[in-house]
Amino acid sequence: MRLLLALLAAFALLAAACGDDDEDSSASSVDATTTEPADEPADELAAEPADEPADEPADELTGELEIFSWWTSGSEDTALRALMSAFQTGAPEASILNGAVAGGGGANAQAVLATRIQGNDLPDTWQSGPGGRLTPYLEADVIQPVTDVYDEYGFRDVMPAGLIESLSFEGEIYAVATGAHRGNNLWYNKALLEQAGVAAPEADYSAEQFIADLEVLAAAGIVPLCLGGSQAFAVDELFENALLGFVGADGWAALRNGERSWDDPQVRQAAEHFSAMLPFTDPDSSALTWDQAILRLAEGSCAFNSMGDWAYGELIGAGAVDNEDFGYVNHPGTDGIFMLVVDAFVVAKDTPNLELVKIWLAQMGQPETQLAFNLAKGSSPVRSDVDASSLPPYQQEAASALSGDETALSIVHHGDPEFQGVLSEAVTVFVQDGDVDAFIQALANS
Amino acid sequence: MATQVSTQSRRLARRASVDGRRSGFWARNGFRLVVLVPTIVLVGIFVYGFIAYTARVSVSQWQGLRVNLEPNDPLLETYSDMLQSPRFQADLRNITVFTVLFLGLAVVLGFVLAVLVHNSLRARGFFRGIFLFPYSLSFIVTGVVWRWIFTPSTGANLILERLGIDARPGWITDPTVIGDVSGALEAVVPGGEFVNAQLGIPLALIPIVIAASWQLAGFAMAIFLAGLATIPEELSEAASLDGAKSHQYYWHIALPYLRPMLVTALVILGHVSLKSFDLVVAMSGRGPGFATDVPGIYVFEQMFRSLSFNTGAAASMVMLLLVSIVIVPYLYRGYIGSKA
Repeated sequence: MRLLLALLAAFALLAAACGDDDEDSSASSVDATTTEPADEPADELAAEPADEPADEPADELTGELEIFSWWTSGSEDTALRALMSAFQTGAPEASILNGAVAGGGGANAQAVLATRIQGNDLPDTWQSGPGGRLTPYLEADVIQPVTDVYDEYGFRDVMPAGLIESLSFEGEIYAVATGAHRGNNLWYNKALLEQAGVAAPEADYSAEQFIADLEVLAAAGIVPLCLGGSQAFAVDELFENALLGFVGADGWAALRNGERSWDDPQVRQAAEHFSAMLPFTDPDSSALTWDQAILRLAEGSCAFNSMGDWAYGELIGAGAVDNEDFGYVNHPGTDGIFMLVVDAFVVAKDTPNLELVKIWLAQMGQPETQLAFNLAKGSSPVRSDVDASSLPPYQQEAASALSGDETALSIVHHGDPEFQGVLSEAVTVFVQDGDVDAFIQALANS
Repeated sequence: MATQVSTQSRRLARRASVDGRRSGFWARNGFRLVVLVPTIVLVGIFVYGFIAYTARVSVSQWQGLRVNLEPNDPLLETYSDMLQSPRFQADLRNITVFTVLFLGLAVVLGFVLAVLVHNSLRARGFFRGIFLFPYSLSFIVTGVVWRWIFTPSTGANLILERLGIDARPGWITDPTVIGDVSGALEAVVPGGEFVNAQLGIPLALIPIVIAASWQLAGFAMAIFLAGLATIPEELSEAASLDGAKSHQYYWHIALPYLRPMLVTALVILGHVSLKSFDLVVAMSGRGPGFATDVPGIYVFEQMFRSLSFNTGAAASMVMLLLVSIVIVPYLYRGYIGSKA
């Protein structure tokens, strides 16, 4: 009895501790499924009068559309506002609740969203993505198809088929994409390459040549490869890009849909190649985030960085000049393939504002919205008929690559959540022990 | 305290029986119950109810956003998978090593600071404030600064370089685990082959121990200062009359006197340490080869990245167990003590 009382008292103390200090409250985070969703910065936009009426503005539609995303930083917020103002043009009388949640590259927002789904308190529309990002929502049966929006506005004719397929399930399309980032870019510092006597990489850059160049750079006393290794995704992405170089777009699709096993000679080759790159990474890498790593490239303390094209904005922001201070090619072996990293919005199954959400999605897919959004966000419009000439040179190139290249859907960003976890843990272990067999087995077994 | 309450309720009871409106059990305990019930109900639901729910989730098949409380088959499969994974084993190793080193450093540092502040002739309040100040900062904020300090090419190593010291430690980027005993365990303990992580001291944890101790030593100091203030003047006077040196005084007189404070500091800092999350996230994340990963990070990633709610719940239960190991004996002793 005494022991029981002591136990009870212990738990009470624990509860108090979880509640009031700034410590980890993961012990209480398991309760999150049934508690109130976390606070979110919500600011309402007053309905702005439409400057130029859209095709047929739905004047009579009122109500409040809640838009949930993790776009809160400067450029992201500007991009989100571009989407919102397009929506207001289509529905001038409606108002918007911006339910953006900051932090953790979207991890915080996804945690809040998971909680809200448990509590059956869904926003009308929320930021998601293709492939494995849709799966949990489909399984939980909380989103609805938007195929009719695609049909009505002819999106199928102007958006890449591979992208639409990745947003589809059993013949229905579930989301509209705002833009596409390219994940398989290899950025390089031109001055450092020149200094070491390494030729600037061309389109047909091979994995062997890459390793040879890394060796030359190291011999010249230059840190060959920048890496933001304190964030697991940056390391995972380096492996992902290497893997794409070995299996190609078709092999990639086969790995994704399970037609090909991960216990595959080409996956093994990719793992060995990845392992061969690691000794050339920045010794500081596991203390750096991805943006700090790309800044090091900009300031000339390391030569190469394999990272998605969100790095472009960081480079420009750091004062580096495209094609003068830095250059880029597709990651070795991935020429002609566009690794898709896509943001897209889905619709809650039982939203009371279905008509508003459809206006939101329809406006999102319009050429001028795509242009305004992607100009701010740094990604590429997903419509082939957008006049990209007003975009910076990099984005023009990426936009034309998107409509011409084969596409591969990123696993690190759009894989099945459980497999992503397995991959990420396997990569972390592999980076330390270099055991190819164990690595392949961990991937194949999941 | 207890006697006060019972006197009061006896008085209440007497009044009640005089009034003749209430009698018996209710007359004696009614007020206590009324006061206690809201707490019992709230704590019952929001603490024990959710602990029970977490336990239930941890043996369920719940993965993904749809709630699925169907029991797993075998029931404890989530636990056995988790306990065999190299990552969770590394987490348990890290949190143990971290807690031991951090408690040692923070308590020793706290005691030394307390003695210094207690004996300082002037500006005692100023120094107390200075040393307690880090405690008021957020772990996320200090974590970011400490990360810069312990980044090999930008921080502490530059100071070492200026001082002419040639060593360039990798700090939080160093994946080395020293004193690995897993090989020895495998040979000696039956079932030792379940050990999938290196059981030793990961060097990357040391900077985090330093950062955490810097932040919380002031808290330990405050506890010890309160204790030092309660030692009667006569004791130190008597000690000095008997010719005790000051280190003898602190070792033989003050320290035994401070034992309750020591236990309190260890328990409070211990449970903070076992639940650590934000400092580690800000400083190094999971670290090279999970060298600085802790169960708190594991829970978050399992639940909200992988959507494996059952694994996350199982890891939470293990964390609860760890904290209980620290706190229950303390409260149990306290309970016995108050009875006697």
